[in-house]
Amino acid sequence: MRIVIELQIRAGEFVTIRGSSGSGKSTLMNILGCLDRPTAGEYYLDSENVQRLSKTSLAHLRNRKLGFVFQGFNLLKRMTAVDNVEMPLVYSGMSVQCRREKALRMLELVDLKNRAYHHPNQLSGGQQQRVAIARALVNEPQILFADEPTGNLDSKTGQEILIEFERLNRELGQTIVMVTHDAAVAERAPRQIVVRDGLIASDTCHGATCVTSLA
Amino acid sequence: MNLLTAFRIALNALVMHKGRSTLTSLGIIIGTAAVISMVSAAGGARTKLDERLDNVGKTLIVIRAGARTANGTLADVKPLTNEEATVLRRQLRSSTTGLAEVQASVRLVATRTRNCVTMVVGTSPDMRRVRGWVVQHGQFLSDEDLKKQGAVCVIGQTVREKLFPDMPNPVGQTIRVDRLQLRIIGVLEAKGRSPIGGDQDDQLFIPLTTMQRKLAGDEILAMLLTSVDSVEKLEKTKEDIARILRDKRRVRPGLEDFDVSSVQEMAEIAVVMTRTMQFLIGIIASISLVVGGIGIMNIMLVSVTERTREIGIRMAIGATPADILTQFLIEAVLLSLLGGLIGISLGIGAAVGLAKAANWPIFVDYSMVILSFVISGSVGVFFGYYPALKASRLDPIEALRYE
Repeated sequence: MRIVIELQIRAGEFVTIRGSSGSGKSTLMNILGCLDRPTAGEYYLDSENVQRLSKTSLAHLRNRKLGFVFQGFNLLKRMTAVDNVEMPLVYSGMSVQCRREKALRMLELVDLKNRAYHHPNQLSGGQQQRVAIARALVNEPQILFADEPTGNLDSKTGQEILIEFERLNRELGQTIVMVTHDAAVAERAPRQIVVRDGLIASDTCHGATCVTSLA
Repeated sequence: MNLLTAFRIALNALVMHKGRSTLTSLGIIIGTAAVISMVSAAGGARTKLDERLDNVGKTLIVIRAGARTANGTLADVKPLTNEEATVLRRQLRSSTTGLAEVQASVRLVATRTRNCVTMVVGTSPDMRRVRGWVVQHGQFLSDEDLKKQGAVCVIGQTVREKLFPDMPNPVGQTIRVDRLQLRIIGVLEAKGRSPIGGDQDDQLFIPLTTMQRKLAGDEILAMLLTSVDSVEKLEKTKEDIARILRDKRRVRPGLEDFDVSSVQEMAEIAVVMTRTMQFLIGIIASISLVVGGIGIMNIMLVSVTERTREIGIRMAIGATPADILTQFLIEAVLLSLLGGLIGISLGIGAAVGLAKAANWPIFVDYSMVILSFVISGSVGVFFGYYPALKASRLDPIEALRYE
């Protein structure tokens, strides 16, 4: 079955994609995040058509323009917090010293500088997720993707992470695309997209239907 | 990603699983250790053999009675006679250093207080030049001794040590062989062991005539020895000897009932044996390196599966397939190089130990060491490539979902 959707996301937006499991929100997120290519259709990221890019070019694109935050944090357990944050810079070929400096600055941004040399298992869930956010932002991505970022956290810590996202969007103008199944979480964002059966069921900005998107 | 970082990541991964890494490298360790120690042992044995051949003299020619059969033994023995020896000596005078008859038997030799069993050799004065004996004290047998069937003897160092341990110069002393009293007229300098391991200094020379008339009572020459002054003359001289003996014995070429061989030939046999041994070592080493390589491939496949999620994370944040390939390839190469290094050190250690135990000169072939190192690295590349390729081809989404 071929599903056609049309969607446009602008720089500086904070968008949530909501849908029940199997609705196609993860597939949408994977395509937007350049982890997967659409079988048909076109996806322009920063005016660049990613449809024909090789695996290597997609990897470069993810490295330079995209950041990911996952539900399960996905930190490497045998590396310290600062090593984890540095990892994207390793793949963009930055020198050891610059890497360390920049990673520490990022940890400062998420208020974890004093935990820089802790391993993930010495950090709380919320702290681990903030390390993951620092890692996602370290290469100054154009879009930050978050896949159920509060899913593995208790509600209080989840709130803190959401406040963190809001702050990044408001203060740094960070474009954020967040996938969630939780309506309460989704409603925090100015623009909310609801996906159902592989189609965009609704797309609202501050309560009004968004003109850029038509199902 | 720069290589240094890739090395660090790989090294971290290996250190994480110290035990597993060591066990995996074991094949490579054993392979390289075996090669290094065996090649060194072969080299040491070879050097030792060369030394011994030099002791005997590479230009020595041995003439024995009996034809050489296919398996190298002598059969159809019609003993060499004094007459044949005389003919040969006369005809070879200009081209050789002389001709020494050997009629030997193992006898009990005694002084008044001590005795020992040694080889009593009846020979001619030419023996000194043919074998290059150096007289330490006194003199060697003379033509006069030979003519008069003199009751005299010249002893080797080992015999002196056994019979006169406290007397460096026993010239003038008498010893007894059977009922025969012999006066010592000379002591020889030590020569060391022969290629087959016999102690060349454990013998006692008496005039051939004395041996034949007073001790043995017969004329059965065990062999004739002669030597030339350069290796180039060996073949020609051997041919001359064979021709003279054929004429004397009236046998046609190819039907000789005597054998003329040189120590040089024995040396050549030794070279062939060494080559065969090295070839066998090569096969054993190749097998163990292949087995070691398969071990590395196996553990790398396990490692790729175990770290699927890590690969997914790395890909999501920007690792290219080439980055992942490099990371796992370096890990495999490090594993095998580490194995190679440990194997090389163990091999050198074993070679030194072996050399000490067998009293060989220590011999370490450094080109072999470098070769082993390069080969173990190549094994890592060869057997690590497939797992690394597998890792690099993982789909990031699938990999991220892997539990």
